[in-house]
Amino acid sequence: MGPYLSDTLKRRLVFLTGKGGVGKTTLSLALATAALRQGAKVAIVSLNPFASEPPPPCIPFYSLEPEGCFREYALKILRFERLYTSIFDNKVLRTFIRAAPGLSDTVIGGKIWELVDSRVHDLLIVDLPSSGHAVSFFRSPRGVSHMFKHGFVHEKAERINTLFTSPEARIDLVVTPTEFSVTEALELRTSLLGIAALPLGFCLRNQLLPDISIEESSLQTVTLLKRSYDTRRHQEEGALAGLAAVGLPSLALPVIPNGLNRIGDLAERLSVA
Amino acid sequence: MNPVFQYSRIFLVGGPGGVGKTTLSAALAVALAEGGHPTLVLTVDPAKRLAQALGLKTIENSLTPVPLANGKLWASQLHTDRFLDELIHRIAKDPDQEQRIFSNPIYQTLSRELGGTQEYAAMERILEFVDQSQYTKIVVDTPPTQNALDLITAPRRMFDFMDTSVLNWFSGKTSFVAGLFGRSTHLALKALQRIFGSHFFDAFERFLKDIDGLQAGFQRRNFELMRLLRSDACAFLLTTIATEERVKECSLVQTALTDESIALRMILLNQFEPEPPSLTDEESRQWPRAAQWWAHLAELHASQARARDLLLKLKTPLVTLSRLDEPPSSLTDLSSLGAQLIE
Repeated sequence: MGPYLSDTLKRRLVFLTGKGGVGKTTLSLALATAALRQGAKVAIVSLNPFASEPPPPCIPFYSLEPEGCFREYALKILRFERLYTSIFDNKVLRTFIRAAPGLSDTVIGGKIWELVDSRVHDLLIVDLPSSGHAVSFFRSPRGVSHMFKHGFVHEKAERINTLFTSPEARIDLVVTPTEFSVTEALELRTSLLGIAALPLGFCLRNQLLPDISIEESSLQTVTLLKRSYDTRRHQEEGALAGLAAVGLPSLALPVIPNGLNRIGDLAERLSVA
Repeated sequence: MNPVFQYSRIFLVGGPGGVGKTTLSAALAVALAEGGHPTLVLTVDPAKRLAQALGLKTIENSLTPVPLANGKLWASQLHTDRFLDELIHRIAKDPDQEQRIFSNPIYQTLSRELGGTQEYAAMERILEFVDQSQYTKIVVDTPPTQNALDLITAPRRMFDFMDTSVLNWFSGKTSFVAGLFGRSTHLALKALQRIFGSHFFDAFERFLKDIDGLQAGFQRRNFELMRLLRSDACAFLLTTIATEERVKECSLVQTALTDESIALRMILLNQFEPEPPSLTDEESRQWPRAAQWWAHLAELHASQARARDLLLKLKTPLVTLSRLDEPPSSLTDLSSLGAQLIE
């Protein structure tokens, strides 16, 4: 087992962040598969309402959305469903909950806290939807804790903050070899560390080109292929050069066309990385 | 030229981050300007090379004329910082109200510490420029959103937060909401205080009093914006790439837009992998590593072509733009990309 997976198995909560389309959903599934193969009781948490497909039944899956989380949370406090319904299932308060900025991220954070606290799973892998959302997700409980100075929400937000900055948690940045993705990863790192001393873990360099050194040839097709490979390779190296500034240990993962069909391969890569 | 580009005036280029939205917005703007329309492009955080191509490297946020040989084009960065402050400044009744709002902890949290106002800012900016008749075409590169709908519903969510009925409920004024609750209002307030804490509650009530009178302003802006989005003057273009996941998103976005009575006018399929030049069996044996690369590209092309077939089923006009070896970095590059786009 490589250092990446062995570190993962020491945590209880691993977040995968990065811009949309870098392969976070696929990597969450691959990492869960790798952990499962080591006998860990692992679950995936998705915050993407458009999540394409749930993982296979052997991996518990939670798709979290704010209203459901709030309902569950309020019911715990108020205990009686009828009271909840009379209070919250009306336009005024539903609107308030949805519109009060940060509250929805905080109730989702609260649900994650509970899942960790319940110890039903050894490890939760959280698939965060995009960089922008990742920033608001980690910042919101702070804003909320400040906004609500006392009461349940305040206490809850404080507990979420404690968990998210503890060594039980880890935040990985997923990056693809494009200038855009690398720039965003650097900004994300700065933003996250600007919120608090969040436990940034690894930088996953995903969807890298395969290593091929194409032959020199006078055949035009080969020349064209060689040129296309070399151009892409050059761009990839140029884009990735900026990543050194992230200052995190990094993993190289190859591009896998139709990634969702080849989770096993990717899980194997993560196990030895 | 595709009729969408001929007849609409405002083009909202939406989609997730990293699919080339900012580049395509710039390319579209260049093509429209070269087609004889004085054009404005509002862009969010362009990559360095693109900013340089548009002449945006030094002047931030202000309107910059782009040195096009043929045509009039202006570019501006869409800035979203301190945006809500500016809006409150514009619609507040007097400086006193403005100050009270600025000093309220709920407002401070709302505007600075918490996310969610960027999309709103982008939509608001559109209204600012609509009345300026010197631009016959306006291209808006939108902030990347989790989904395109967040962008469209941002003004309404903001307005909902400022909703009068919420204010009235908290101050116990209205009979309509009181009717809904009957005697449970008191109970509900107590429960809310338990959940949120009395400090927040006091501040929230004060905040609602402070913004009293501004709701009409928010409502009017929201109404104008929705009317604009639903009109033919405005075209929503969705940028995407050919992966299975993105394609599924497109169909969900289309449904969601339809629910809002907004038409998805076009899908821009970007970075499409072209079919690689093929090798014969004999050649593959002779140059196995070239063949290995060919196989990689061919598989990529095939999987993207499958994704494109799914997109075609959405029955929305689709423009496919092939993957470029180098990202466009000059006005000439943008012009040729833009020409393909509006064809």
